[in-house]
Amino acid sequence: MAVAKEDLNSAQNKRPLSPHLQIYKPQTSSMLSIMHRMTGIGLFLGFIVFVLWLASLAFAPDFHADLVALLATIPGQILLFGWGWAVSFHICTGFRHLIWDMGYGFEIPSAKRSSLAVLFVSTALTIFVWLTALGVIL
Amino acid sequence: MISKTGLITPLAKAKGFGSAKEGTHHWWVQRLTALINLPLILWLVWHMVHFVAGADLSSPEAVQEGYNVARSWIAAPLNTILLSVLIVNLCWHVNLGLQVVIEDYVHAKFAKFTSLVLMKLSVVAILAVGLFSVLKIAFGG
Repeated sequence: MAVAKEDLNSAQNKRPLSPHLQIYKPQTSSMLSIMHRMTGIGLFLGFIVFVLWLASLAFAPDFHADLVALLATIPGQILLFGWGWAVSFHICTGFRHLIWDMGYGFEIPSAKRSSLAVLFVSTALTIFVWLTALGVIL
Repeated sequence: MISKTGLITPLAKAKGFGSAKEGTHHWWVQRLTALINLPLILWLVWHMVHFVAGADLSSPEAVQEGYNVARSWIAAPLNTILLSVLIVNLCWHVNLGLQVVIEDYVHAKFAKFTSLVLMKLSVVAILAVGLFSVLKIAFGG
């Protein structure tokens, strides 16, 4: 039953590859799908900064001052706002995944509607939280 | 599955199912941790955005005041508990999520193995630092 390694390798090399991502026309569904992953990776980086903040509060007061000063710069503020939006986006798309997992909303029209809902709700949620935190509303 | 060593039994070969390994465990825990994260992360983001929006860095005294406020917020019993649960659960979710991303996009055997191990080690490091920091603030005064 043993197959020579070279035969196995050449057999694997001859297997057809699935078309690459750039072949396909961008669709709302595929774009939101890849953004769910990208926001997930981005939030991992945000989580690292959050843990650094916790560590600075626990045992590095000097580093805390540097960290908050860094986050207060314009790029820092953009990152903070971006992470806030990424959280609400990832929550909304993740919630949609849970609904799909239960077997609902697979039809193309309803998937398109929920895509738009995800974009709208995540953006509205972000703006709402920031406006309340800044004391503009509530 | 081609067996060079002949470790697969004739019955397993005939059935052709291969090893079931973890089955749906990974998929299921990914969803479970997501669901637990949902209320916790909404709670955390709400407070973090309020921290950021209310931050006053105009003087070293103001920065020190923000430092004290943040520490006493973390040290409040309910916040300590929720933060600890969140850090553990989030690390678990991150581990499962990044694992799928690496498995999908990194195909070379060595690169895949290395990036999976490095990712898992970093998640454990983040978990340890995060949890230790929260508990130190809570118990260490």
